[in-house]
Amino acid sequence: MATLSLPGCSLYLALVLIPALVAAFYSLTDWNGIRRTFEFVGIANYARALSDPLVLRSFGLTFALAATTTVVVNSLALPIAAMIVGSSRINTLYRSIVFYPIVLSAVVAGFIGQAFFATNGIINQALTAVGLGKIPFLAEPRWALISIGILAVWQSLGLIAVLYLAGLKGISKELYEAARVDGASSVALFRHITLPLIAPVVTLNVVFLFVVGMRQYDYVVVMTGGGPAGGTATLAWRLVDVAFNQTRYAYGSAIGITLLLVVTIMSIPLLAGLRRRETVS
Amino acid sequence: MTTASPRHGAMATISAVYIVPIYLVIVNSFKPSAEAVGDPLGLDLTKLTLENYQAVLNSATFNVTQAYLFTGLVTLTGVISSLLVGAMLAYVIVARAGRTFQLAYILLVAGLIIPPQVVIIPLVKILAAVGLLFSFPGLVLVNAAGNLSIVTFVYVAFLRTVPKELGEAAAIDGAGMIRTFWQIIFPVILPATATLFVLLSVFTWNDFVTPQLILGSSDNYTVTTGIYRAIGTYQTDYGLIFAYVCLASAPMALLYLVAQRYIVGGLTGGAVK
Repeated sequence: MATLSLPGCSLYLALVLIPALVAAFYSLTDWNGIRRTFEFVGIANYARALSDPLVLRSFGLTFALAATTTVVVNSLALPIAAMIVGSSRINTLYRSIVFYPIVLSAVVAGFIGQAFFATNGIINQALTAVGLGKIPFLAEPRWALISIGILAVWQSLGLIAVLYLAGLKGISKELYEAARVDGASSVALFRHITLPLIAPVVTLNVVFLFVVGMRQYDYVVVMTGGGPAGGTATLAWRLVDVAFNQTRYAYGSAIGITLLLVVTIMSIPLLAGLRRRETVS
Repeated sequence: MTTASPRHGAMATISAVYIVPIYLVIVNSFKPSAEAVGDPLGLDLTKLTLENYQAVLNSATFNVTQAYLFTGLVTLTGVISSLLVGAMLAYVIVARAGRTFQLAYILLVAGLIIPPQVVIIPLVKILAAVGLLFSFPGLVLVNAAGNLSIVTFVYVAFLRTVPKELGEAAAIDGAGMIRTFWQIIFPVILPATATLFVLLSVFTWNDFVTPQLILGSSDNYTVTTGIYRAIGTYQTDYGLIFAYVCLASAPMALLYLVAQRYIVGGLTGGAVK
């Protein structure tokens, strides 16, 4: 028995759990990642992170990005799923079209996004061609963040729609028929049957997107390098910059552990929801 | 139900948002640089060329064949080992309902939410200490460990639907734990394995953070870290960028076409019941 679990346990322990604990340990020191010695500084790194304007700005813009994409993707994905829930040939085609970006690497999507959003990029050339002015997609901090958000919505919409599709398929047709016989309107059907029954899927999708959004890194590295003027420096980007480029490893770890704590607190509803469904099935 | 035409109108619009970019990426990858940059929307069939692909194939910094081979091997070995190890672990967790294995399960699921950037710094130190930093086995092991959470999570959910009598009957017949696992349990979890294999292959092939930080500035590169290094952040030759993008995505696009039912089917059938 133990033999079967040994490889998995040791692998996970050595390369996931222990590194996480080590990161937590070093976040309480002043180690720069290279020197041989370090001293304990208690929660000084955390205190500094909470008053560091750069970290706070990163937190704010990461949160705004994660929250907005979560809301936008979910409010688009559910109607899309409802439109293509039938198993006709054309719906299968729609599904394949919306879903394909999931097989693109975020790096590849980032390069595509860069080519489309750049100052002389494809979108601006199209705008110029029809006589409109250019939009400073990647040249202005706020627009750069919006551009990354648009790319995130574009790439994750299909996955979330397919997950909703699965939830919708699980609802029995008799429920709708019975309600319709009772004279319920389409809106009432959605409000009183669809929404309550897919509530667990909504929870899953919301928390999943939020967690992924809070870790946003790849698009930033490829499209903006954190700029312009730090306008797209997400927390994950900031922590890599601090720990590796500025060799402030302990401080970077503190930022990372803070990110982990925030994400964990946000994920508790997800884990609770999953447990509940497990006990039901 | 909404009537058909507004529904198709909406879906056609949404489809366009997905088809137009990929169309432009593919067409521009076949245009000479000046055309791709100056007139990305135009399509003059007489001017299509393979020069971008030739440039990529002759690139001094990015060797496509080597990147395919390296990434393919990293993906295959990492995914297969995490499936094997995770399946055995899940079996033990389900068969032994004790406290220890419950705790192990919770710790494993918790791994789903650890941002990779947080563990990567100590991970680099650990790998460097055992001489595996910048190396193929180092990257494979880290990928396998990283996949373990989702693999075990899916297998545990799957095995809980399998009647316990199946394993117990084999045990009565005198089959050992390992034989029971291979002969009885593994065939049962094959459908979940197919979906996990395809999805994890896509994610591992496409992963950027882990190979970027583990392989660093060494000579080894995956498809994603390789094209990142080759293109850089401020490259504006779209024809060339798109040729890189198409070559980097081709293997997974093919896998998607061939194994689409495992991806979409697995998500709709397995993830949400």
